[in-house]
Amino acid sequence: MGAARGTGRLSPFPTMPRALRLGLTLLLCGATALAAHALGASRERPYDLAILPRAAAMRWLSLGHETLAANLMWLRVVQYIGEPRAEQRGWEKLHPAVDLVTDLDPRHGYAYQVAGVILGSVSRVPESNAILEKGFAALPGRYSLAVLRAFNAFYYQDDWATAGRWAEAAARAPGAPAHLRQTVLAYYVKGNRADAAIAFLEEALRTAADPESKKAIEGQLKIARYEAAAATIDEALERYRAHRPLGPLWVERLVTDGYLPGLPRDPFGGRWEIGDDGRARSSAQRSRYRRPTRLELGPEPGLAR
Amino acid sequence: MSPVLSLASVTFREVVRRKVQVNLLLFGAVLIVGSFLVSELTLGEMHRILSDLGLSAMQIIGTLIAVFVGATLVAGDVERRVLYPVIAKPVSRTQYLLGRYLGLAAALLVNLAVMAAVLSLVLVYEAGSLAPLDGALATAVAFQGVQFVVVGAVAILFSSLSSSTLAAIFTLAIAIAGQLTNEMRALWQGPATWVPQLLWYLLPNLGSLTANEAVIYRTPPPASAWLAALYGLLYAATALALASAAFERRDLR
Repeated sequence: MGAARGTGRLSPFPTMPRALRLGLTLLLCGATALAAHALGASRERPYDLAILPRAAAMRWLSLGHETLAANLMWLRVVQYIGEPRAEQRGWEKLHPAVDLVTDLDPRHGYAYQVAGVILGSVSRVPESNAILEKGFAALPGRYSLAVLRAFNAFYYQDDWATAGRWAEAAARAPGAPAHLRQTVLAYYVKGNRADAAIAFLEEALRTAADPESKKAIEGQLKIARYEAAAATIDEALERYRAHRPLGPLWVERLVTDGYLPGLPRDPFGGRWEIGDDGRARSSAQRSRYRRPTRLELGPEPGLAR
Repeated sequence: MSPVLSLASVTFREVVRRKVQVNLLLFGAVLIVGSFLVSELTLGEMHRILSDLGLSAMQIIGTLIAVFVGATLVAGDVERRVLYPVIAKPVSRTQYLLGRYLGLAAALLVNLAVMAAVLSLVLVYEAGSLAPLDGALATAVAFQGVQFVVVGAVAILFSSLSSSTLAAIFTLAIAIAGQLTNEMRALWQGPATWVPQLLWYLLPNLGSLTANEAVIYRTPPPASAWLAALYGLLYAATALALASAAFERRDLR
């Protein structure tokens, strides 16, 4: 050993010729550089979630720390969402990943919310609906999840009646703001379910505790009844126009020609007339809810568009 | 000063000076501060990530200190033959064990206090108010203290029965298994359900000694917290009683 130190022969290959040693070293350098290049190339792919374990397995592996496992998985989901090349990669893993996070920690309200919004905006509406419904079932107090579910229904699926049902669920949630009642009314009316809006508002009126709320609900109920009555006339107008080349100029013709047994009472106390849009309206309340067209709603926002 | 307290005092100083303990404690503090940086990666609700990662780091580090320091306390004294001059004095083996355990428990609780102080500072800094310092956080920290004294007692039990290495392995296995007893009992279906029930009683139910979820969601601590803490302390006392019985009969020649 002492001799080796004296001659400087500390190499692990003491008998190997110098040129071979140099060649081997260069070869190792090259291989390392190649591996580094390959590693870099693999990192050039968009961030993806390669493996999504089952929730039951994760629960065991977390050694009783389900929230920790959920939070660590959530951090990966955030990277998945934040990937700038997500369009190139796709969004197939978002729903299963957030499903896993919320299986491990069912109270992770923000995960439902973020996933619901993003999945809807990238045309994965059934998945968005599923995660929002799961979230609202787990957290009935988080009314924003039901509001988002209602948004999906009318905005992506043109299903205003379902939107009304989810808005109603949101409005019934503890701590929900009072203005959601107006949303329920609007969605139900646009979904031709003014009857459901009336039922909801009548119940809200029965349970309202303060005079201010009662007054506001009475106003909304009046609109709902007005819309229900106007919808009855609209339906008769449609039948009339289907049978005759020219529509009636006055709504009273619907009664005289047998399309309606009688005109419904106008809750605003005016008289019924036919508006510029061909729908019935009251002379005392000319504005009515109108279902917007796809064009009026604007282009669907989307991360992948 | 009674022999037990003298031994506890010596043990406390010895444990505090140990490199492994100091390293782990520093690592714990770094982990807690690191969790602050990790929480920056999330979308909203930073508090949940920060408190969860911080509390988990504290628990992992505290448990590792309890396992590796506790496992070497008695067995190390036997292996290095330091034990003989001690028990040659008018000190019973039980007093010796108790003194060692109390010193270990005191060191574990001081470590816990240091880590809890670091986590509290980080949480207060993130929130910009003292709101995170609530009853749930106090309960979570207290629960971790109970967990550490339970794991410490198990470590002393194995340390008084076998070598340091084996004691560390057994204690670590028990500490991990103790986190899974709730899951095991819930998920074990079909025949021989007496097996999980038996294990439920034998293994320390460490999974019940956690209030991390209450801290994350800023909800009141579970109503059964006191019962879980009492259970933990009783389990530690039982482990010590078993350790004493075994150590009294052990042939140390």
